[in-house]
Amino acid sequence: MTGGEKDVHDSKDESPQLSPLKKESHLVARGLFKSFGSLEVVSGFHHELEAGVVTGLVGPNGAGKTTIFNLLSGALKPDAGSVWLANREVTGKSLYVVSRLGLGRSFQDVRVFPTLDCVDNCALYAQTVKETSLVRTMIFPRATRRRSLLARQTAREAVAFVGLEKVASSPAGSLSYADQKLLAIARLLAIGANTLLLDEPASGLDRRGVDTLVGVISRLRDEGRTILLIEHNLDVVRELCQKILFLDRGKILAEGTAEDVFARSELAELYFGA
Amino acid sequence: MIYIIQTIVIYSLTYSIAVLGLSFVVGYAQIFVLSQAAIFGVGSFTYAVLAGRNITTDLLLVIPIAMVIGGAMSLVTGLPLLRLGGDYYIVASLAFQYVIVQGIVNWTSLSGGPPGLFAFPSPTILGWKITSNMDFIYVLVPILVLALGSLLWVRRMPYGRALVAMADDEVALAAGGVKADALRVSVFVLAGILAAVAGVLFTSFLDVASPGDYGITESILMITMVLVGGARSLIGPFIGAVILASLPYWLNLVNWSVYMTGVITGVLLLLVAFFLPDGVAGLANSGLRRLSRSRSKENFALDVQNGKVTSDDRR
Repeated sequence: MTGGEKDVHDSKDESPQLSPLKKESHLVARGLFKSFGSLEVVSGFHHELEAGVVTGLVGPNGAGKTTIFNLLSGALKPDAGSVWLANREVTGKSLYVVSRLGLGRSFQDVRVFPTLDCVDNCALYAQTVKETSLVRTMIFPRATRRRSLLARQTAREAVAFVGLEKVASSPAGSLSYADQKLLAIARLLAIGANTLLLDEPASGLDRRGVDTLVGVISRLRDEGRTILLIEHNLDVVRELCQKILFLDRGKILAEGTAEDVFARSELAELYFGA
Repeated sequence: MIYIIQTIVIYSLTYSIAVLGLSFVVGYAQIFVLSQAAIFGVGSFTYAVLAGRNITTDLLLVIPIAMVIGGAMSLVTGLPLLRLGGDYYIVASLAFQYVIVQGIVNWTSLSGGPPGLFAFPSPTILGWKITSNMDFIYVLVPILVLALGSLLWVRRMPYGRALVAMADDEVALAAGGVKADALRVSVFVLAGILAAVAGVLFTSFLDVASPGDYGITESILMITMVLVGGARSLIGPFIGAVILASLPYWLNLVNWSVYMTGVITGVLLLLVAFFLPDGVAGLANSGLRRLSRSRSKENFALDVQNGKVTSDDRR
């Protein structure tokens, strides 16, 4: 384990509470390329994510949005280009390393742990590598227990933040889809991530679900977290995003406020296929 | 009669210790390992060699040595897990099973070759000679309780939480900053350590260490114990070990051939695979779950009535 990773754990240990915001935490993508076979999905994605702002990543299906998320979070390695998080290069680092460095990502297909309850779902994200080690668990039972309780405390706060207290001890698999989506966000708060990548958080939700979700995300925005959001629901995008990146065929076609971007008829045509 | 019962108890307890860790491997790492009996054999020969050469018979010394050797061998055989997917690993573990047992057989100067080693001094603990069957039970029970207790403890801790999460969704686990690789290998080593401990106890009781007792059939028997009992519960492997380890004696009681053990084991494995995916221990659990599910359905119906839930909330 490198010294750099250790620093991150330590800083996470000191402030397990919600919103441990670090000003310098920001995400930079430099000229990312990714092809699957002969198909170039991302071609030169270059962007510096503005800190404390909700940025929307919109574009037609197949524009490469989720692939960009995978490249930024370490789930995929780029063919070329680099990714920087808090002035540290994380290109080619694995998903679990990048997560520990404070980049939280959600998945389009939610991916909560169905057999763990809500608090444990979040506690898992709140706990550090130290407590997860079998050797440490056996050798330092007291310390492990204390840290476990601490992680559960952080987890409970995260669960409360998204308003799931009532189902806190139900297995996540028994939750409604809307609640699972909220839980997925709560997990990212538990990990102490300041930069959040949210992949279609509002998809598949009814009106009420969307409203709750928009409420949660806007509270996160007000806390000053940096959020990159993939979303097809344009109402949600207009309401939440101060800035929009319009993506097509792996390239940013336009950048600006929602009004600016959607006022451009050629983009609307691309998007709506009119 | 009392002697037979004592022997059944000793076998059941020994095999419980051997398969406790394996239940984590099958239940959480979700790998079928067919080399558990080989590691059990390694523990067995550790006692045979140390006692047979009059080095030591003190279990407080032999067991830790066997734990280290068994753990190290599991680590070596477990590392390919990181490269091979679950299904392919079954084949790899089969290979390890053969390599280890054949290694023991062919290291004649140490293991005595195919017949193995036998007739050792009785095991001791700090000078106390363990000779009678009851003595063995007094030794086995605390060891089993200690092993069970440790596993229950780690399962309740963040490590256990990560194990459940690993079985649920590995990608989401990684997004939470935990790498599944280390977890998987650690579970594997844990299983090996416990198997080695059981091996020591087995040979110190039977007074024999014969390579034939640690073959692939035994490995399959151990996996069956875990599956019959229920992989994700800790009481499960214990139940499975009690049922299967005592099987030859029950057969003997009704004058059936001991060779029927294999047939019955196979049939049990099939029955469990078809009807009891969570094993015997899962039976009780699923009963509870069914109860709570019907209750949550009622709640859901109530919520619908009160307008708290719309049809979109249903998945």
